[in-house]
Amino acid sequence: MIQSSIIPVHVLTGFLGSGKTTLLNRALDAGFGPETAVIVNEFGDVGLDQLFLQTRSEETIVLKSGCVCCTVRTDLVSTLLSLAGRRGGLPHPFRRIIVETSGISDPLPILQTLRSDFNLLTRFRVGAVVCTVDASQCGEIQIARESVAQITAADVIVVTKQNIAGGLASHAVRQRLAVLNPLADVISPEGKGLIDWIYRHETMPDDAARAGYLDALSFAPAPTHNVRSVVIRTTAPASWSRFAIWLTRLVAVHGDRILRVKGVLFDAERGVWLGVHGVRRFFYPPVHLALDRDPACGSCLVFITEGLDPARIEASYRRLVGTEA
Amino acid sequence: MYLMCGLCGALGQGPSWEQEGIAGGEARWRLRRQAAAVATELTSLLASKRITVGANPDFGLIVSFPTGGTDIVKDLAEFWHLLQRRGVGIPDPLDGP
Repeated sequence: MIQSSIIPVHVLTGFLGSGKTTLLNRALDAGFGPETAVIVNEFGDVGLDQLFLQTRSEETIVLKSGCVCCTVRTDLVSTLLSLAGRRGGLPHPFRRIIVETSGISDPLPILQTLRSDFNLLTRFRVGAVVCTVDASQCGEIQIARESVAQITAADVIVVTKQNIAGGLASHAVRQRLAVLNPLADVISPEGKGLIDWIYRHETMPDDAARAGYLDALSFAPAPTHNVRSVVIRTTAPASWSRFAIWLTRLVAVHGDRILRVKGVLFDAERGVWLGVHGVRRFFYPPVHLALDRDPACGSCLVFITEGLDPARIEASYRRLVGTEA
Repeated sequence: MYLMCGLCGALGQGPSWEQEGIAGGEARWRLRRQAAAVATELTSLLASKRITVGANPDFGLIVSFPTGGTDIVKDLAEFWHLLQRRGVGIPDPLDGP
């Protein structure tokens, strides 16, 4: 559902040299430009990315002197509020904001900032996390801790430089991504794929697709990089209060090792499906999903963990939350 | 579209309770009932630490410590953070029975 007065803020992340700016340029050229404001963050003292951003956006702002996920969060808040204030006076008011992070940024603090600052809450909402992955450097995924944080936080992953990597390497990267983050869509940068994905994400009655791709999660990915996942299939929680306490307590104690949570659960009391979505200690507001049909997976929760046996989470859920018969 | 409140897991109307509040007497009644259920569950969970939790949907959770101190938090995330800040160990939900 589009909330026209609430501006979605999408986060474009990806490791150094993975093609974030190129992808952004392409999206702006392909139609995003007039209705998109861009915030670019650079880590170095001398900002260069904006020189490469051949922008078609009327509003492009560069945050320098630090990483947006830590030292310049205050700048991000003030920049967003300034953009919101100027929006009404623009000939073509933007409909979305894209924050391009530095290559070593963790996107999570940005999401937390958007949800925790009261002034932002009334003007902005968290959009999608888009992550670029360089197919020709796929081995680096194993090395860079930042890459794992970026990939596991993503809603959509764009695999870049496949022409350099070749078909086999690109296929291997996609297989690796399916293990690291089976919840994300994986697309190619060519054409209008990303634009179409963003439009769909912005306009779809909240995340009906969530149930769709959970339907597809019938596999058990092999552990890699100490990252593992589990799908807890269940019926409705016996008590929503107990479920909320369990989930928030679990995240409070083990949030650093729970990379991602996503799921759909049936609320038997009200007869509706509820969507749950979190990235480490950051949780999106759970929503009742407008679904045409019950998801084939039934009620299920997906956990992606690092250094934590997800089977323990499943056992804990069944022990402490319980299910209705 | 409905959302689950970060306080208690109760569901209310509107894109966000923080942004639009809840609508209707039934939603408020439901919020109060579920907030009370959360407080009861938390008090039971932390009984060994002699921490008691009350619920006030207008303010959040009212947390009373055995030393006499009282704090108010607006949701469950803040509640766990408060315990960590006060040095109270949070019972690990992954530990067996």
